[in-house]
Amino acid sequence: MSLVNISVGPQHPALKEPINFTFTLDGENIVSADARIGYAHRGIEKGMERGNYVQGMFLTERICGICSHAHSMAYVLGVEKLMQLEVPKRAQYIRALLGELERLHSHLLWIGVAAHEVGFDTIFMYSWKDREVVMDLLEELSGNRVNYAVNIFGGVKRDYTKEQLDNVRAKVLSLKSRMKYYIDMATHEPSFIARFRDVGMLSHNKAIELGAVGPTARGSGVPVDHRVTDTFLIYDELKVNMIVEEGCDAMARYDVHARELLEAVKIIEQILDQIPEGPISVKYPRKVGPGESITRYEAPRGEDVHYLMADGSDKPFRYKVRAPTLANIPAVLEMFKNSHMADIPVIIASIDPCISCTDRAVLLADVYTGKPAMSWKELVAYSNRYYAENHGIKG
Amino acid sequence: MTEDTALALFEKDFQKFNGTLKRWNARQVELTVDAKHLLDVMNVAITDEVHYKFLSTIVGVDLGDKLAVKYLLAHKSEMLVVTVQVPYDGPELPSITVVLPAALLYEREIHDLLGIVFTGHPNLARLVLPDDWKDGVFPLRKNCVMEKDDAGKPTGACLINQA
Repeated sequence: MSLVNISVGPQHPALKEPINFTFTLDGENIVSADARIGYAHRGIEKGMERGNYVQGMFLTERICGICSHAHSMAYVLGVEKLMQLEVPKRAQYIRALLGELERLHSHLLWIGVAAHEVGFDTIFMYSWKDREVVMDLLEELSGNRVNYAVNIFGGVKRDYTKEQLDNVRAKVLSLKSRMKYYIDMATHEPSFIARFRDVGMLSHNKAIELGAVGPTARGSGVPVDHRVTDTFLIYDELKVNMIVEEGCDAMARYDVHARELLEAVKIIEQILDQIPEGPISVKYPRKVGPGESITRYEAPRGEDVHYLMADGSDKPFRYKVRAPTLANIPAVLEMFKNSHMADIPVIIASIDPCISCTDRAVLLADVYTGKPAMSWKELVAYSNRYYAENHGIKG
Repeated sequence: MTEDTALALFEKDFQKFNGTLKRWNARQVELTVDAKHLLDVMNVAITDEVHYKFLSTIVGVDLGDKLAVKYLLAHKSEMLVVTVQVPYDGPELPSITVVLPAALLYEREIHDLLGIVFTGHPNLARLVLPDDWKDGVFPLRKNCVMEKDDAGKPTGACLINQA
């Protein structure tokens, strides 16, 4: 049988980061895959060269809607290195607190989406309900559900009362038992196991070779988590366990996400226990450099690298951002090899890409005629039907 | 092996490439080498002794009179930045994808945005720019500005590289 090319993606007007995959299929099996990105390239790196450093803070925060705090942190830390600022301890704890809350909501979002892709909408509803609790907390702390805007060079913009912090502790702890349930379900629910186990294999060596980051790498047994392996903020004062799974499949990546939820709760508790009193910011200079700095921040999806070249003026000379999803694309292309077409949704979802790009928008089209053949919804329905008919797994 | 000795070993190893070594801070070192040594440096960097096997990203910079490419290699909390410089006209570098496949997308991105050709790359197709983008216009170069009409007003649509 001859090979068939199909194109998946990227159409949707509301997408932040649409992606297109071209799959070469031999019957149901994927022989190879290629990716094309940039459908909504916004030129942020060029934009950074035009605005001054304070304007850059608002721009970096808008790189991503889910992990906006991660990008803003990486930027602020990089600039502060060149400004040679000593940031007050309390401000660093507040930054870490927001970062861990962001990790909670990002991972809860991902668990819901992963469950949704295999037709398990009960978990989708549960985890997104839990996520609302975290989102409400973030709104209480920062005023916004996304783009928290708490960072400023030299510290943070908002201080919190003891009552506010106690409220964080109470609400986060109330989620703990539900998170344990997500871990339990993953190890016991047969339909979940059947759809995730041995799907989207990424061997340990390939994960290193292709430069996978974050939960994708940790699911393949690569011990890399910058909260442990690198030092930034106050993570060296906290006890952080690195969650590593050896399964190399989508199940291992699910386990990493679910167990990291519990770990994030533990970290939040430590932050609330140890947060010192004191000032929350120091004055910062207008001009930066000259010099270069590289910051690596552990975003929910993995290593987020920001590079800054400053020339001593009030504007960055060159700013470069590498978001974690880009680093994981070569890895996801590798996962597709020798997989079933029906596993495409699970594999794409398993690397935790920026969900707005995959979930709502992927379009299956015939590359020769350009005629849309299948919507993302239909593809998911097809894969659920495929497993129901051939393996007796009901979603 | 502790991190200190890995770094020391690598400093010794790279003497032979006539590079200049610059220590940014305790954990970040920049090595500037001639482009012809690039692949040799990469081959040494990924050995089990030196162990810079993780390519964080590749940064392309327009320095005004020439282009620079910085390879950010990492091992745990350490970072080795390998910098090479290429001329403005006809910039060309060997692709490091044979040594580090993680560079596949990063090299394509720099090819799009700065116009550096990576020889030996398996597929140097467009990655981030649109399919109908004008050939030879590289948006991240410093001389890339908005196109203006005869009255001096920006046309709003297109970028050009000024001579």
